[in-house]
Parts: sequence; structure tokens; C-alpha cells
Amino acid sequence: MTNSSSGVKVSQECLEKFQELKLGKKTKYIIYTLSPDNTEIVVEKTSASADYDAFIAELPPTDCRYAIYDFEYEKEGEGKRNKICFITWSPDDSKIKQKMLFASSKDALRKALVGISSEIQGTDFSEVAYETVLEKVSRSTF
Amino acid sequence: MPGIYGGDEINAIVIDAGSSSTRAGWAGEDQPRVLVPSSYAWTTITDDEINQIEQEASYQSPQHANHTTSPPSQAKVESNGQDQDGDTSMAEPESTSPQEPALSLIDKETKRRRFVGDNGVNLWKQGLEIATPFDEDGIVSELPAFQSLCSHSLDLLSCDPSEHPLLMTEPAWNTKEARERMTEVAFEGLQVPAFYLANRTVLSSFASGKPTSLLVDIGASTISAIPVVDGFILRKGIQKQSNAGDSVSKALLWSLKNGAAGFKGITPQFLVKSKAACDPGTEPLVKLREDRIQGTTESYKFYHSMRVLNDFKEATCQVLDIPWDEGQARLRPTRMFEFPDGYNNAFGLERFKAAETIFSPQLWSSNPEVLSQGKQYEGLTQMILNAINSTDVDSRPALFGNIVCVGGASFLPGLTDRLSYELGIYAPNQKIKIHSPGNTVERKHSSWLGGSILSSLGSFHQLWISKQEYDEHGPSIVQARCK
Repeated sequence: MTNSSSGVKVSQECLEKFQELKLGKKTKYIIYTLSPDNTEIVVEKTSASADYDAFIAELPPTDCRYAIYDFEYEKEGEGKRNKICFITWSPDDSKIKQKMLFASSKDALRKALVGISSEIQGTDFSEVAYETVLEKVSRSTF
Repeated sequence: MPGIYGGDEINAIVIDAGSSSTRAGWAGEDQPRVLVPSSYAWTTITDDEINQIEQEASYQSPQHANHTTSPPSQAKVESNGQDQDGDTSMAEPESTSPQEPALSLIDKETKRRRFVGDNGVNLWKQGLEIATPFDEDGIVSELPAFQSLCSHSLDLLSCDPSEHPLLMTEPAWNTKEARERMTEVAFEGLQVPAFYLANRTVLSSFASGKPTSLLVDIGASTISAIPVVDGFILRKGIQKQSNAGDSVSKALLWSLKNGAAGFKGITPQFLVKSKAACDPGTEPLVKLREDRIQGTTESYKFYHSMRVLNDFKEATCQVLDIPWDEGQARLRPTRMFEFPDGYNNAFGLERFKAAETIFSPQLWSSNPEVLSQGKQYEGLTQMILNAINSTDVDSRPALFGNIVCVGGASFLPGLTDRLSYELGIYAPNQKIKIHSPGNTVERKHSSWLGGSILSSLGSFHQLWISKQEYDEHGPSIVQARCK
């Protein structure tokens, strides 16, 4: 899992927290960031709150992040569904070095996490809004 | 071996050689320090002259290599043109710095002497020809010239390449052979301790923060639309054509020749002795440098005419905001421009129609003076649609939402507006977002910048190909390591 274009690695904790979210169903979202020396992807925060707005509020307007959100929605006539979303948050106003780092390191994290059903590349808040994500999630078939 | 480059301070060098200009600089900086023309100049040279230079190189210290007709007379060449025929064998002091003896600029087989860099192509000399180290697709085809270009750029950076890892960029459609040749130039020619070859398209995509994007790069010689998904190029989706910035300039020239009142052809600055003010649309009152007309080659005049046209283009050209409509274009405001020979006029229709080379190439495709014949040309919008439609259905929404526009010619005013207008018509159900960096450096040099950031990362050290590995495996190692 070291083969991202930037050579940045994924910390073990990233996988552990993801497993907790996947299996335990207690964690609702995880925010990942880069370690201060830019060599490793680390967990910044996990939360059990299912409030989507609270989750969006965690995304900084001028900094990049990765995030996992366990998206729960009602499928008409078929009951509740859960889809795990992977979000690459790279706002237009963030610094170019950050954008470069997060974009070139994404593959390392994404490939390490198994069981993601949707991926979202967000550059502004409209692209990660609840409706946008819902539409994308409910379109995916698996 | 690569482990010696720990931390973020590795002082790598980044060279990004495009078809029109080459950028070089230090990794981690926010813009390239060196910007030189990729083209080079050459003259023929006799065996005697080669021998003389070889002797000088072997017996004298580099500082003395360009003796006799030395700097003072060069200064004269520039100021009043008292140049002389026998001078062609002498190197420019600028192009023969201590690190690069005159010897490396001589091609014994073809009996040519090269002059690189700004001074190399800009200082007029008798019989000077202009050529480029790249083929028409922007792939390195002339190795010795490419190496001179790299060495020259590194000299301007005042650095010794044997002490710094080097990252070079390559076009998405680079050939396997060319990749290995570039690797050879790096290790054998420049003697770098470590090397990496990075894809320009991917670097630009990453630099805009997008592992997934549809990257539109409008350069001088090539226009391309390439799908990048999760940091990898989808090769079957690559769309590239040659109706880019230079074709727009040629279209301008054609319009000038066919319809601009009083226009007598482009006279580049180096042929102008003096000029007088003249009224718009009248013949220029210019005195030419008769002494230079004889010794000027076609390629030299063409290269410098293109530079004039490039200025003209940047000052006036604009993309019409709606699909091509000649009647509408005629109603738009005109702009004034004065050429180096004093000719000036107001330009209206011309400045819009030339830009259509990119959006409506069919207007120009049968004109051999503008577009090379025997090729199919699509408008930019169609190229993007073709590139996106060649991908998996699931990837398409992400690509439509992440169109990134970079390259010098993407600065044509109105280009992105027109693109989003046309894409809206052809793909009405998609959410389209066109991203073009507002910052000039980020847009013009996006691939250099991407390479600069990437190679400055401490974590990148494990990806360099070291000299030791190159010695063990040969140039083919680049195929395995730089994907």
C-alpha cells in the first residue's frame, strides 16, 4: 500500500478505524489528514454522530482532507440502506502544495480501504451537499 | 541508495520541456527560475573549425575558449549590427559557460554548431537556422539538441547536475523508446545521481487537486483532452490534435495577408533598422537592415515571425462567446495593434476568426497555411466529449464535473466561457464544472509546478531511480518504475 504517486503511506490506525466503522456500525464518519511531516495519512477524527451537517462542518474551507461517511438512506419500498462513501475534499481555495499532496496520495488510502461503494471528489460545498451525495449513492447499484 | 535523500530538503531539479518553452527550477519552489525557448539555432561548420574548437577545448581553460572576437564585439552585434561573416564559428559567451564547453554544442556528423537559449535563438547571425529537439507530437527526437537544452537550463540555474536528483516531465503519449532515451540523457549525458520521469497530464491534474479529471492542455503545438482516473491516464481516451496556439497565430497571419489593408508581411524586429509613425491601415514606413536580409534563413525568419504573431495574438485574439457566427463576430469591438515595422490597424473579425481554429477547425482545415493537411480536426468541445465517452459510464459524471484547463493558449479570453456554453448544449444532463487556475503560474506551468511539489516531498525519495539501479538494469528501468 505504499505505491501512491507521492510515496506517502497509510498509517495502521486508518485501517483499524475503518474496520470499526464497517463492522461495528457505531462510528458514522472518519476524517483523515496528513501527518505534519507529510509522510503518512493519519486519522484526524472519528465520530458517532449521524448528523450530516455536523460532518460537513468538519471539512475545512481552505484545507484538504479525506473522509469516510457511512451514508444511510431510505430506499423506496425496500427499507434502509447503508453505503460507505469515500470523499476527497480538495477545495479550490486550498494551497497548491496541499492539493498536490492529497491528490497524489489518495490512491494509497483508497486502495487500502475495502468495501467502499461510492467515491466523491469535492472541490466546493455544493459537491458534497446531502442531496448530491444521496443522488450519487442511490444511483450506484452495489 | 535513494535513502540518502531524507526529509523534505533534497534539492531536486525539475525540468519541464514543452514544445515552445522549457522550464527548469528547484523542487519546492513555486515557480520555475529558468524559462528558455525549446527551439535552438544552428549553423553549419567546417572540419577546420571543429578541429580548432577541439584544440581550444583540450588545451585551454574554459574561460579562454572564446577568445579573440570576444564579448565586446558581441555587444556590438546587438547594438548596431556591425557583425561580420567570419564570426559564425564563435560561440556566444552566454551559451558556453564554464560547465558546458563549446564542444558539446557541436555535432560532428552533421557538421552543425548549435546555439541554445534566449541568446542562441535571438542574436542574429549569418545563415542561422532554427530547429527544435522535438517531433511534431512533442516527443524528443533529437537527443544531442535535447541534452544541450537541458544543460543550458541547468547552467542558468547555476547548478551541477551530478549533485541533484532530476525530475523530467513527458507527454501522455510519449513512446517507450523516447522514455528510455530521456533516461539515458539524464544519467549518461547530465550525470545525475537520481532520476524520475513524470507524466505531464497527471502532474497537472494533481496540481489542481484532482486525482480524477478530464485534463485539457492547450499548448503551442498540441491541444489535448485526456481522462485521468485515480491518478492514471486512460490511454484509449487520449485525444490530441495539432490545432493549438501556433495554428491560431498562423490563422491570424493568413487573415492579415488576405484582407488587411496596407499589410506587407511580418517584419520581425531583427530586420527593422528604423520606423516612422504611419496611419492605421497604411503601408509601414520602415527602413530594413539590408545587411541582414541576405544572410537570413527561412526558418529563422519564420521563427521570429511566429514570435511577433504570438504577441499579436496575446494582445488581440479572443474567443467568440457563442458558436461561430461571422455576423456576430463582425459586430464585436475592434482592437488596435502595432507591429515591429510600425504597421498598425484595428482588428475585428480576424481576432475572433483565428481563435476558431480551436473551436471550429473546419473553418480552417482546408487551408494548408494554417493547419497541416491530411488530418482530422475536431472542435475542442467534441474532443472533450470523445475523451469522456471513451471511458466507463461510471466515470463520466466525475469527469464532466472536473474539467481542468491548462496550457499557455488556454489564456485566450473567452475560451472557458465558450467551452462551458458548448458543453452545456451537447451534454445537457451532466453537471459540468470547468476549473482553470486563476493564477498565471499555476496555469502556464502547471506540470512544472506539480513536478516541483512532488519531487520536494520527503516521501518521494523512495521513488527516484538511482544511478546504481540504472547501472544495473539499463534505461529500460524507467518503464517499470515511472508509470
